[in-house]
Amino acid sequence: MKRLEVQAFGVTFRNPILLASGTWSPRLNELYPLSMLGGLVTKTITVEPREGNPPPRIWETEHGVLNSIGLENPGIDRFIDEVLPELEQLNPIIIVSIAGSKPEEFYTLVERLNPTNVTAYEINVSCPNVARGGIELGKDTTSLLDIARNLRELSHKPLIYKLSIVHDIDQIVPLLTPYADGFTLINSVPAMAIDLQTRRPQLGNVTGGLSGPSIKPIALYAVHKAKKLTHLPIIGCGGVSKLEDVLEFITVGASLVQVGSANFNHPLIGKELVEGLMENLI
Amino acid sequence: MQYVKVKVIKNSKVAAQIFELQVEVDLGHVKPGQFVLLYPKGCLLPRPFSIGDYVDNVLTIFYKVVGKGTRELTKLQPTASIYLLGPLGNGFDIPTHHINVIAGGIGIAPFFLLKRVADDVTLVWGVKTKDEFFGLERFKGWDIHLYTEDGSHGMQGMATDCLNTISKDTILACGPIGMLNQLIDFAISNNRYVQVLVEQRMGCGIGACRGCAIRRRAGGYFHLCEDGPVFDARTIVL
Repeated sequence: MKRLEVQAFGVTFRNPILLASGTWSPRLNELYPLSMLGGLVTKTITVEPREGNPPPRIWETEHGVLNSIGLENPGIDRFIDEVLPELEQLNPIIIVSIAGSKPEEFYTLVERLNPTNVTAYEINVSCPNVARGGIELGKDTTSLLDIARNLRELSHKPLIYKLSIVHDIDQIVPLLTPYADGFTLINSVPAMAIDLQTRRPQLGNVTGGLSGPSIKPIALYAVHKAKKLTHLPIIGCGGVSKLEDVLEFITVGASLVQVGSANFNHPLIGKELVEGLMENLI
Repeated sequence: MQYVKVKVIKNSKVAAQIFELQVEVDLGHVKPGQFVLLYPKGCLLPRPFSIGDYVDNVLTIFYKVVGKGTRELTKLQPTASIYLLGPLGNGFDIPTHHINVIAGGIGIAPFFLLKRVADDVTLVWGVKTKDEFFGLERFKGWDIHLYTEDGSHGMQGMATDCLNTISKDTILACGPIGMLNQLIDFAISNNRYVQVLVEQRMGCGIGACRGCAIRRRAGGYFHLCEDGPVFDARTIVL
């Protein structure tokens, strides 16, 4: 078992398989013990509760899943009081995804979460489905760098920046490296789909983020590229749905991988990937 | 809730574009109005279906062929297998006294199971044309009123035409969005408790993705997989 262990960000992960933000719930633990995974990344949390985007919010394209949820979440107070205690029972490694529409919100979130037992923060500056603080923040390198400097001072836990393929990886990764502990690449890719009968978008929010098998080659490219720009550990994310995908991400330099929309397609995927690694690598 | 590969017993056409799928599965206790997810081959997202009937570990699902997922389902032959997650959702709150059921088209699906637990029922079922009726013999013993839009069978009109004369008892309903909107208006203007079973595109089925949102009249959203699929018609906006 120890052969699957990964050391990253000063944390020991029992294996490299994590479940990605917004793609699992504690109910999955009814199907298999989530404690067997390397760790869990929470749905993105903001300071105030967010009700999310108008429906329809999800649509299946030919080779990918298009979504526009809009960071629906209960806010930091209810997260700490009601959600976190349940999550802590599921796996010792809980990475909390956080987002803010202004810099102060990131600081508040980190200050509120510092006294808890969560393992690390995944700083979501790449959500394609919110007007402020999402993917646009990742494009504003001046603000991003400012946030990263301040978070480095405030945070008692590892800081992992989740980036998008539409970001200038060549610029951002070296810029954030002095203030970060790692990177997650990539968030869902900005995309849209049209209903030809109504000539309207398939999503209530018009555009969304594409995930699933069609974005894996893009995610591999991003990890490969980032690996040359930083010595920090990278979490590969995008279209992981079988053992070969995990190995491909590790081959291009990922220390860990996140499994996202494949959880919708086959809820046992996390368990099967861990078992597959054990059979093939031990 | 369980996630299992189930064996197909039967998968045959029972009406225009409508199929009856039977699979072998032990779901434990199920309520009318609950649903399962099926994982059709080649699809990235599962598809939600009302539990049609369930007896002696045989689950029946009635589905209408509308897109890629349901087209794929029609290819399932007996002895083939498919993954299933369920049972999911809240189901109807079933009173012990007389019940009115209003169904539109394939919206009849969840009420076959109701037949096993309720006898004193008035069923109003409307379809576009008579070829869309199926399984009527299974409702023997209920007070049945049929409507077709083209007048090819029963009364000409829509199931909701009955709202002017319907009794004061609880209404359970399922059908297309136009019909549900009429029922929402009826429930609000008469302050009646009408339970509507709603459809929405779905991702995970277990509260993870927040994809299956529908508007809450008081603001914000409900999620079909966690809060529904059955709602008090007065509380939602479609």
